[in-house]
Amino acid sequence: MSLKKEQLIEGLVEILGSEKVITDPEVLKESSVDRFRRFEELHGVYTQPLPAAVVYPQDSSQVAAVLKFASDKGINIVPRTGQTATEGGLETIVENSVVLDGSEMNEIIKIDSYNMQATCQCGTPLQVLEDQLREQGYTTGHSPQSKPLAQLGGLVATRSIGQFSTLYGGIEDMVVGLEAVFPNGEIARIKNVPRRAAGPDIRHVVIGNEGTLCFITEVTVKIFKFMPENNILLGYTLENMKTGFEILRQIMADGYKPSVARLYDREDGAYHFSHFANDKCVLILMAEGPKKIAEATAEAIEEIVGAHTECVKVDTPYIQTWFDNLNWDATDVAAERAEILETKNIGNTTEISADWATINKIYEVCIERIRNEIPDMTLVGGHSSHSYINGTNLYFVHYYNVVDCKPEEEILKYHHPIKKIIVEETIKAGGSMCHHHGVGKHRTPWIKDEYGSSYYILETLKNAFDPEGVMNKGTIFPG
Amino acid sequence: MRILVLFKIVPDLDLLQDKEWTIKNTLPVETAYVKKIINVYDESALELTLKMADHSINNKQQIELSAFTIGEPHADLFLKKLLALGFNNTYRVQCSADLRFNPYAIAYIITAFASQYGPYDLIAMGMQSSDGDNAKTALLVAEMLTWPCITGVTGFELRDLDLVAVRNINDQGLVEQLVHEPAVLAVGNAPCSLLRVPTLRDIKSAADQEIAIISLQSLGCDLKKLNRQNDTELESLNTVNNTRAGLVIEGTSAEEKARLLYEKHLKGWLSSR
Amino acid sequence: MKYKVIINACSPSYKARAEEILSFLQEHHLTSGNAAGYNEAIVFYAEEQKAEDIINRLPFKTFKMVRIKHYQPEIILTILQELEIGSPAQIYIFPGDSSGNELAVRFAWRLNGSSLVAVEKITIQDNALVGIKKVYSGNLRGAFIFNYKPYCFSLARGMSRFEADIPVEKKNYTFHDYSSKTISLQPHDYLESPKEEENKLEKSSFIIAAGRGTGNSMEISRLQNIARELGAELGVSRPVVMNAWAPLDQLLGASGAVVSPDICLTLAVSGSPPFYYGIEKSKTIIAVNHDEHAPILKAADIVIIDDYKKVIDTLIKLAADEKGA
Repeated sequence: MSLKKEQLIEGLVEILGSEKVITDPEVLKESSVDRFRRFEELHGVYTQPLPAAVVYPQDSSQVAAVLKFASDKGINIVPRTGQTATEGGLETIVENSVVLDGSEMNEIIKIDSYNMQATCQCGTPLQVLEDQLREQGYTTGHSPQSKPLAQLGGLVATRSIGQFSTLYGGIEDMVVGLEAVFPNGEIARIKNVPRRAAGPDIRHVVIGNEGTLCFITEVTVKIFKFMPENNILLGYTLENMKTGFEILRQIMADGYKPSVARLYDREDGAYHFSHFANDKCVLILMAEGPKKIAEATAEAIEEIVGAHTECVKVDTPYIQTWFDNLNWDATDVAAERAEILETKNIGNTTEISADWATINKIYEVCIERIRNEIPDMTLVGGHSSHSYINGTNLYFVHYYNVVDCKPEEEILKYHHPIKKIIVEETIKAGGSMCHHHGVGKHRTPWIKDEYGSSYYILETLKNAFDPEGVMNKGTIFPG
Repeated sequence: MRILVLFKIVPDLDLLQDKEWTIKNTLPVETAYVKKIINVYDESALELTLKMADHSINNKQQIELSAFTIGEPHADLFLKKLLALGFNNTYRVQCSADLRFNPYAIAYIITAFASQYGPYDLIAMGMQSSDGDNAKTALLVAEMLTWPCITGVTGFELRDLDLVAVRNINDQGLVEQLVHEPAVLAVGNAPCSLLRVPTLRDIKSAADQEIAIISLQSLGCDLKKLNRQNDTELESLNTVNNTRAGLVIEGTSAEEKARLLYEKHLKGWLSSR
Repeated sequence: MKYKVIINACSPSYKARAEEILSFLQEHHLTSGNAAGYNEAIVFYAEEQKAEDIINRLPFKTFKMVRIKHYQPEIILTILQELEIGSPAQIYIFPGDSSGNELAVRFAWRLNGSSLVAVEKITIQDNALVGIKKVYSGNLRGAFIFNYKPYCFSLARGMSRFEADIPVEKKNYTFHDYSSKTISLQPHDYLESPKEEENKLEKSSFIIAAGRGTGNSMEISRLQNIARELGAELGVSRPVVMNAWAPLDQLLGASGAVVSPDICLTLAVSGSPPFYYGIEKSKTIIAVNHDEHAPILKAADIVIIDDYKKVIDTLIKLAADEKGA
């Protein structure tokens, strides 16, 4: 890099003012990682190069100026908002990176209940938007576990998905239009229309770019009527994941759209459901929407499940109590950190997707291999939580005790080998290695295998929009 | 050296919403559908015992650990976990009766068990449970066995085969004392005592070990009699109302809100002190 | 009903505990008995303590002063049994602390009576006693009927106090020396002597309470300094203590200190019932929490929904400016 750190900071201060350029060493340390490296971080070990600064732009023109400056001077930019990334996307792997934090751009610009859409700046916490909408009788329909913490920009940048996705879709189905700033300083606005056939859908260049092509400054999402009084929660215990997958397939293939469609295996389920489903798989479905639709959906689900004799219905309060405690807030995060430090037991997740014919095979082989090949495992299990007409996802949950290794060796000894098994088995079987957390920095070794011949399209986007390679180096595209 | 650790499976009350406590004056409170956990003080007792055993391996002392609970089969999941963690024996007294507010019966059953399956050198358990809040069981067990009882225990280790160094908190503060066996240890707020997690290998190698299921009858316990003899009896339950004004200080930034708080509510009071 | 009060003067906080009992007696219109010399307090004190000081400080008129070697529940219980078994009172009231809980339960057992721990209120009807206490981790209150006499109970921690200055000449007391008393059950051999001081939190008029949301031990030590600068004591919630971010004597709540400051400022505290128990006697509760759904916000007088770090940093600045000015 041609620019010295002092000059770099000077340049940023000129654009943003000194108050918005943070160089406090503690802030820089915690900004060099995300949840992927939290074991190291908990032990005060920071293995990544520290960023030069964390900066807080106040509007799109400041974002543009920072990106232009970075592009001209070859400074690596790591964009972020709510900081709930789990796959290393926020790691600063380049010396003197600048973390571009959009969380102070947090205005809800317009809730347009006639056209059923809401526009907000990138730093708007989803919870804040959702709470405001609910007060008026609406919802975003988006409910990832990180809802209390995550913000709109990051949610769109990582192609996030929520617990009600089987009805409402992933964030890509919700985004109507947006504004993004590219590294050359270009501010591009994609207008809000119901649909158009005017060339490729360029929203998809931006959605899921993980800060490698542009910085999202504004988002418009669809809104829906909020009618929780019509929700019907259904829960069942069953013996086999295979049966569960088959039920989910039938529900989807028959054209029903439950909002929640989750299938837990014994191991993952034991954590949540052992008080009513000891050593059983658990299937949870929720019908919602207008009363008549919800009722018809629930009735059909009961009929479909009823044909499988191994399924036993569970009383609703069991499911409701679980449902009420689904999301993670800051207190849960703090509690988890303390528990990890004390017990040296840490859990991570890997989410993949595949078609109906393949999903159970991937599930079985991955569980078996992790159990046999990885030391000190305390839990290997998984659940399916998002279903589609042609397939579903699998959310592998893997916990282990960190034994006889330094904090900085935890990822190499445990986490990477686990990811490798899941990713390689999934790609081999024809599934996708990333369902909703994004690629981050730890699944890039397989990105070309993931895309095959279509990698050409992806790579060309990077070359076109970020020719200087300053956008979140090492994320999606191998560093 | 035989150590018996007693624990209770309780609903995780943190998962209940406010509205569920606005009762209805019905007895008992329905918590069946809430996720179950090991009562936090009992969890500490289990972990402190394992920690003590860890240290004693170096001393090459012979320690036999037993875990015990009273309740229904859903507790077996936890007992299996304890077997995987190194407990030598696990026992469950099969009992589906609601004994949340009958610590007398619980202590009686424990004592009957300890007399039949003992002798034990130490009995450890939490000082109270999150649902009953009775805080009596450990004390009653000590009385029934005519053993001494140390309350508010935060840690213990073996000094000799019949001598235990116990740290505990009493009204005078943190105390460390040597205790001759036998004794009952009632564990209180013990820092860093989350129960460790067994590996899949630990679980597999303990898979053959059985949980001993014991009937009340075999211990000579008659539930009807135990309920009749309970020294106090729950008559009614009522909602606790903690609501205050909850005046929200509004502002455009945290700094502004802090300034308003300071000017309106703190400045005068701080300077008048 | 005839009642007696048991005081453990070996505890450095015995005066406060006795004042809580006095207040409880007044609220329940039970004080006249003591004035008439009918009821009494039995006071255990350690041999190195000065009996006159204790007599001076205790707000009771009639008591037995029982000298023991040092606090040792087994010895106290044996003595109590010897003193009372002949003609026991109908009610024994124990203080709201851990020795009170222990002695109430074990003494009741020895006299074939009934016991209840952490009682907030009682009602006496037709010779029957009902005790009211918190259950379900403080989420509910239960009313319990005592089945067998004598009825023994300890008070809930941190009940309101009544300070009474009774001239020594109006007090009736007798001395009983059991300092050489030994029993076969004598397990305790102190390796480390207990501290002889009262909990600082109980006396403070300004408490800053930190919850798990503060995140780590470094942040807690930063808050220790901030509290000192503002002239406050720092108290913490149970998770903070269990993570060993702060020492046990800073624990607030049902199993820690119960405080009654003029101002209690909570930072990143969610406000679970067992914690709230520790601060509910505060005159003013100010809660700062970024989570607008945190239960503490409904149970506070004044609320800021925001990042507590920014709030406390600003407060410190304002207080320092004020001092400088």
